[in-house]
Amino acid sequence: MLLQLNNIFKWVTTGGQRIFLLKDINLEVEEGEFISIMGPSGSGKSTLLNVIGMLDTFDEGEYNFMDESVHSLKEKHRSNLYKQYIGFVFQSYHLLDELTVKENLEMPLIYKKIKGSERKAMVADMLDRFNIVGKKDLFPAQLSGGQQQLVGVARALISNPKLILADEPTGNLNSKQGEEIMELFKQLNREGVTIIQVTHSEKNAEYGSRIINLLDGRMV
Amino acid sequence: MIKNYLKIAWRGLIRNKGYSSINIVGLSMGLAACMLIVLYVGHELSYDKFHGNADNIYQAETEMTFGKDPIYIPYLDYSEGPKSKISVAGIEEYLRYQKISENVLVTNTETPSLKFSEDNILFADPNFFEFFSFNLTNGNKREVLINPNSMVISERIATKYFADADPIGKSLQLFGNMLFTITGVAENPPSNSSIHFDFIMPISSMLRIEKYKEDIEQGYSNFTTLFLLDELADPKMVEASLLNSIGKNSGDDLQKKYLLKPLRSLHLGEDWAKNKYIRIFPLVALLILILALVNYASLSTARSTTRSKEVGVRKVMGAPRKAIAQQFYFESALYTVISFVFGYFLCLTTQSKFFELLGVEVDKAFIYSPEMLLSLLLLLLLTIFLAAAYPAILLSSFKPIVVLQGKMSKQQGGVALRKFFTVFQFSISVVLIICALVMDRQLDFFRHADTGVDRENIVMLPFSGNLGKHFGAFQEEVSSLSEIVETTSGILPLYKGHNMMSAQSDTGDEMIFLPTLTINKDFISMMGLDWAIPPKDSIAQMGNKSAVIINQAAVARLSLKDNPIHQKINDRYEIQGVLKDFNYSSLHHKIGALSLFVKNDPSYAWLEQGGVLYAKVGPKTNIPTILDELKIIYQKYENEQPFEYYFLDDVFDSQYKAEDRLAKIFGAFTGFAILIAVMGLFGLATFTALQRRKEIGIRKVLGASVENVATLLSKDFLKLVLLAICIASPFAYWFMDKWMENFAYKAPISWWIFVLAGVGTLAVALATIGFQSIKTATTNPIKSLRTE
Repeated sequence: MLLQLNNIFKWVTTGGQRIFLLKDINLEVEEGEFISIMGPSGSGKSTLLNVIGMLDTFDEGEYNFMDESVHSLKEKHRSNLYKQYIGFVFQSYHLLDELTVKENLEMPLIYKKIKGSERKAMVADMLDRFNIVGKKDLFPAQLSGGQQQLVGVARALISNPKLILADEPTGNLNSKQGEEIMELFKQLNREGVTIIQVTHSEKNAEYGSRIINLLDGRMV
Repeated sequence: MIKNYLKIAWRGLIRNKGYSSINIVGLSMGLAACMLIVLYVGHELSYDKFHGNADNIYQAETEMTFGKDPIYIPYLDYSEGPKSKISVAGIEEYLRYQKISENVLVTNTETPSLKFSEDNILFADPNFFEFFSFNLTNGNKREVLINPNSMVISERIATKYFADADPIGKSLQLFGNMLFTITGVAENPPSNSSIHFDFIMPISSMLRIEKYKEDIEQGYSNFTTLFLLDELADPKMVEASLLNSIGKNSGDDLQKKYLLKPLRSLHLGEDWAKNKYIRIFPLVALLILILALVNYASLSTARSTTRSKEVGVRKVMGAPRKAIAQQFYFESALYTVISFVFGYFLCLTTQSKFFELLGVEVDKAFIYSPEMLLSLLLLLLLTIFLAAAYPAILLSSFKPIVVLQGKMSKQQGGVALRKFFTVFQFSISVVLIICALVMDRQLDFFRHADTGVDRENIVMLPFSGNLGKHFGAFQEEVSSLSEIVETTSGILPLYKGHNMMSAQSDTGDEMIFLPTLTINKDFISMMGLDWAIPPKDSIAQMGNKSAVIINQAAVARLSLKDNPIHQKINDRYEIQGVLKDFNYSSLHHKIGALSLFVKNDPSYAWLEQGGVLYAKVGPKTNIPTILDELKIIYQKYENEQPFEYYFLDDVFDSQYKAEDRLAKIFGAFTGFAILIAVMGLFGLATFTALQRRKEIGIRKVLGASVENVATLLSKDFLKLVLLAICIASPFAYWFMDKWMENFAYKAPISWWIFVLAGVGTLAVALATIGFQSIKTATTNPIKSLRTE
């Protein structure tokens, strides 16, 4: 089992009242799954994804990731854990404007303290795999949305994560570009990467092997 | 990794040209100002440090107390130095030297056309070059001054008289017909030496010159005497034993004491004004550096909103906080290094002007000395450390979840701190503006104060005893010039000193030093001095030796009767008249007691030590022409001493040189501070407008006009500037009130100075913000409301 959420609650207190963002979430994810999280705006999709990605905390419950109990880990260990095993893909790509495609891909490797020559090889490999060798010296602003998201996915993949978390990865793309990204996800999944995506689109959700529906912080 | 940081920093710098240049220009100006001050203060503090024995050398001073007021004489007699070495424990070596006070004509006998009137002439003990660490380029330190006919000259003099030829063995002629053989050439004394010389001759040669010989033999000679003390010797003990061994001989009832002044303290100890600079300047430098740094920090954090996404992405990609902080540190370091390089060039190109303004000379060698370069390097490191710290801490603290979801509100990213920074910057600017205005007022007051002396259009020509022999003819010839309205004479130029006599108060229980002026009879009318009690006889009659005129302050100081005419001072000088008080020295001091002695026959009176001719020039005279004419007449009677002249009002003004310099420096720094503050404000306004784009878009869609929006944006900043003015005014008042304590006569610190400073600052701030506000207010809201 890759990860397991048991009775996860998350809330904010406004005016003395608890407003639940996540309510009693129980979820088990096996390696190799492709899960789509769906639900209307404000139902807690992104919050759930951030909790899984360890970017956000929760108030109650247990979270085990690869046999480590995340809820009892210190901040530093937790960030080490997600750095090692999780890759993020964002709706608005979040590429660094000042860096070229090549440098954007290289960045996570620098923080992993991987040697320069090795980094080069890994970046070249990834550029090759995604067919963007010709774009390697361009800046994000010089790319189309689809190409930017392609780089975003490549960046998420470069450090060989077990799990990819994608928050509406096609939200800013037109349908053709969106389709390409989803095809890419499907292929990656076939190669063994576990994927959890948040999406609004039924069609995109169909790419996954399992759909989780959220409403007001609850799984339905 | 560092390469990666620098790359990003560099790209960011290029991409945001406006922001980068504001940041860099501000910081480099601040640094340049700082560097100039570091150089200046470093130079002042390095005086005489280059001597190997600097820390063990002391200059002897005699303190004489007579009644209440002690006077200090920085000399010993010819015999006192050698005597001390023999009889006082702790003195290892002594050195005497005397600088000739008047100019001397020096001739190269081989080429008689090379003939100049020189000052900077010293007689010194033969161990001069061993005692001090002045370097000889030619000659042996131990032997150059052994022979009484020998002479050491400085390099510039060697070039002046001998061009490229080797001067060793050649001769120069001084004091009429005495020949001195050059045995050594010394490097020009560095600019941070308090001892300057161009010619040094052995002290023994003084005994061959009649006028010096007499003083030495009678025990009235004045030699600057320095002692090299044993490292373990206590200067206080040495002072005491000096009194025992050499102090006893003087038979009079003066209280005499010997003081030892450390060589290293001579320069800064000389003059209070200089000393105060040394204390004020580092403070000003620090203030400007802080201003520039605050500006930098404020701008960098203002940009944090645009940088926050980057921080978030990096953190999600696995960057630990330390790496982010490091990245911003390197970025600041890059900006600082670039600014430092610009600042250094700015400093080098402006240093000569700056030092000229301060009236100091600084050797190139000092500016590039390892110590100074090291100080500047320290300044660089300090700047990097300080500039980088706050942005690095703030920016690296962002939580990725917050910034990536765009939840960061305006309240984050140090808004309160930036407001504080703005207030701080403007407070300093306003304090500086007010100080500069008050100083300017005070100087203006000095220049135009009614001091009871009619000082317009009066030129003073000092002359030596040589000319004194022909004074009558000289004065006659000057008076005959059509441009000259009136002439008179005195023993010293007014405002440039006076003699002293000891006087007993009327009650007989107190001795005071009474300043005296010795003048020709026309002096009083020509200077427009007013009588309080006019003399009964005509002034011409007062030339007899026992007559004296005093001022009102002297009447009070000597406790005389209200009408003291015919009373006697010291049972000898009969008071003939009382003058109303007038300022005979600077306005720093209250008018003190004064006595005036009138000489009827100036040709005789000025014969011995020379004097000054005062000439009143007609109001519409062409000054250069009349000066040329005066010079020609002067040179008929005098060929040794150069022609010198002073205008009385210039001499009066120059007494406030220290204040004038301070005011100029303050003016310059005020300009700096305002410029930095304005640039900072401009940058802040730009970023605030950027941050509030969405809000402004909404307001415009809902019907806000351009004026509404511009007011909205400007209001907040203007409030801050107003607050700064309120905070700054009392501080400025307090500083200036303290400063004014230096003067007996003060210009009032008026309210309008504060109003002027406040209104001026507001206007500048408004102009700065206004441009940005209007630009933002006129932007089409569709642009800013488009979702990202």
